[in-house]
Amino acid sequence: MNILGVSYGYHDASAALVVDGSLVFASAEERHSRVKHDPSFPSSAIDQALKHAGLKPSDIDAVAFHEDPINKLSRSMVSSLSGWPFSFSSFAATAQEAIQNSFWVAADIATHLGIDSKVVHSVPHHLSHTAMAFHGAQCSAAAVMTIDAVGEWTCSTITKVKKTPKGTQYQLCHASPFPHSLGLFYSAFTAFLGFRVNHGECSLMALASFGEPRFKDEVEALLHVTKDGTHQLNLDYFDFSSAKNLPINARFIQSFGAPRPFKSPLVFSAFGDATDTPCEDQRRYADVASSVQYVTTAAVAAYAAKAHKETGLKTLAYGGGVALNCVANAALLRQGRFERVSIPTDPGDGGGAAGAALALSDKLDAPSKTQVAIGPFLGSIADADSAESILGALSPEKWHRFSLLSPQPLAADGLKWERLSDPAEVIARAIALIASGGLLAWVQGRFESGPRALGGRSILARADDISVAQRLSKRVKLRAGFRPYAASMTQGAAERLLFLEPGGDYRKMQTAAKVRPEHAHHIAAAMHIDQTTRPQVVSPTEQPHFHALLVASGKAMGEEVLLNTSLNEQGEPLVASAIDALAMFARTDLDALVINDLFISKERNA
Amino acid sequence: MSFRGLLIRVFSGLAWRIRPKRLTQALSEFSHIEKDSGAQLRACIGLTDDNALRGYLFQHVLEEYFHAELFSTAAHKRATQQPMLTIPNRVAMISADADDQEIAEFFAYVHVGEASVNRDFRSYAAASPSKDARRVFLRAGADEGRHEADTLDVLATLTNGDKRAVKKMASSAKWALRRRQFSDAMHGIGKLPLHVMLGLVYAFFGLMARRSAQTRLRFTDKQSTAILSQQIDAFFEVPQ
Repeated sequence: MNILGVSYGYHDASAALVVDGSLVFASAEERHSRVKHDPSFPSSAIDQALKHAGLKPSDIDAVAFHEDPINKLSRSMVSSLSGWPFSFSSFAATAQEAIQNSFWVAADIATHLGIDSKVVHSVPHHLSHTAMAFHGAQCSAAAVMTIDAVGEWTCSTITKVKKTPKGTQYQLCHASPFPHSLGLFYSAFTAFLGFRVNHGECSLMALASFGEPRFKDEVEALLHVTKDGTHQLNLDYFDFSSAKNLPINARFIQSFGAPRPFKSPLVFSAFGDATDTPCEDQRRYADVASSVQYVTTAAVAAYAAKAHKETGLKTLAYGGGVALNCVANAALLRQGRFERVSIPTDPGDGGGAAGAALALSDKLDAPSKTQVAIGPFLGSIADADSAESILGALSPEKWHRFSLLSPQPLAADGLKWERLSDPAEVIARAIALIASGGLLAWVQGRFESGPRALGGRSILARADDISVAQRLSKRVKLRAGFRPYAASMTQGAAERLLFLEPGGDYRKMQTAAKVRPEHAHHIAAAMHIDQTTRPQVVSPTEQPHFHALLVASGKAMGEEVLLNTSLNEQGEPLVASAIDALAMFARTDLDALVINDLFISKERNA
Repeated sequence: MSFRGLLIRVFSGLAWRIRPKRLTQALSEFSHIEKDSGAQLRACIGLTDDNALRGYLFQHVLEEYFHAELFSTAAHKRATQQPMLTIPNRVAMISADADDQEIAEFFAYVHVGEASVNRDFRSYAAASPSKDARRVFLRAGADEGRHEADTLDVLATLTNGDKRAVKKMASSAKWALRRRQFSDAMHGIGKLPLHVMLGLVYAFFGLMARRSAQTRLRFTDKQSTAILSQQIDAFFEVPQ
């Protein structure tokens, strides 16, 4: 049975394909449309899914939509009406959304695919997250915890899920109602600290490491964690009924001071090399961030404890947008209640389509279906030929014209490329470049599902040289200095460099880990100010080529670890195609680009 | 000077002097438009086997991305609040399985669009009270002028030098562009009656529904769990 999963309408629209119970394709629409967090109908992602599986729309047996649009509409409407008479803009936006989209989801999908709308099923939002988390964990039973901003009327859930001879059984243990949302709480502070909601949450988490939780009591007054592990918002401080950019009120500002204005500087540096001292306001922002992270971590841990108590199971599968908070995830592991904690590569709404399709598969497919393990590389494949075919069209000396950064012009013959048939040669050339301090764009095979670059679409560099990371921030990523980079390493290197918690799945970069001080110099460029890093432990069986690269880095540079960050420019989604990779290579100060076996390098004027 | 150019010089110039924030907004929107043009052209690269054309398209994409960066930097310098980094939405102008005819029509549209943008940018430059903004409009406008000529050459190649076909496609693209400009202009006007109607519904319905809405928002965890349980059960229920 072919089941197409679809999500769109808010942020991170996506499409996924489940064939006979196995997830074979998943991609966010943003990768193809090149609109970050694109909420629009995922027509390109659907086209790619069908192309990947060699299917036509008429081959689709059922379609799963990631939420119940009418239920969601009712919540938006109720929320806006509760603020009457000061919530007209929110009411008007909800009404327009209803007129344009909510009522027609099944019809829109059916029209696009040319199929009967009766085969389109709405899957409750948190059930989509639950199915994604459970099937990603590859186990027979798990306590599944989802924590999100909001899905229909629900903000977080605990479900006991197990595989039985009759199929997968879902038993809901707890659901917390809107607006008591940990996700909305975190987003409100994200906006307060001058970052964009649904985009800058990672910046809040990074900033938190520079502060002290001196506002802990004030933050706890906003989010009350109950004795049984649930959490409740104090609504006296928030305003979710109007469509304001900042969902907070005067009382909130009384407690935490004025919000951080746009363009106000943050002088903190993840590398510990800040030249300016932070002013009082900057320290306040960092301390607020630290307090929010402290309370969030405690709330996540309390809810996980409740999940353990209610289900009595040994494996925790965790989904929803809050599951991207790698600092809270590390605390979950340290808590040690579960023998194993599993978080999918795309636990947020970008994975909604895949989750919905898997849930529908649980309903429609035969209980005896065999599932293939869900890996992270579920997107489209990079086509090196397409990049090679256009390489000769641009004269190398003109390349510097296309970026405001104006890198040093290339030599007249400074753009070189060749196909390397021997994979060992690709690795040798890549490592030589990295070891000499170069910045390498690494594009291999299918792209990753989710926001983490795991060696499919990555920028790689030395992990032990801060000056290389600084050039990466200034000349390629245009990244704020307080945000750290992540690292990829072999299992051996991880054991030498890090304090690993038992039960942690470190393959997907979803958990922070403390660096052993005596080995910190090996990973100085990918380490945060609090001596943690977000590691990806690369398996030799799952990613043999990338693993071989790491082993070679150990031989060349002393440790099997590389700085690994996503291949994208500021404000852009992760690169998907070879052509997008080539465009980024032309526009930025990257030194080389490898697309499968195609090695492209720039040689600059002396 | 065209009538449209005159309107831009008079009204945009006036609006930007009265409310400088509008110039910032306009610069940000132009950044989105340029980025969108680049992305539309990028989508076309994979549709042709002609390497020379692929090379031309790639260079054109890079120039449009560069213009987007020029506009966004100018907007960012003037901004008092965080501007949108990326465009809110994108509608593909060319289908994923476009044939040669559709590619030629796409190029006719690009050609006409470049000509229009070239003229408009000169008018916007004249209307702009900011030196920085004026410089960006003129710089991008000059490139668009070159693109206008380049795309005409590409169109001629795609139609094997058939001048009548080029003229016909360009004329049809001109009308499509005008329809789009008219539709964009009417969009705001069309929203007005809708908002008046919604305002009336909100005023009366909201007054009656407010209390029950507030009650619904006070549902407990237990109530919430029971409702979602029912929905999950209903989802897994197999219809008889």
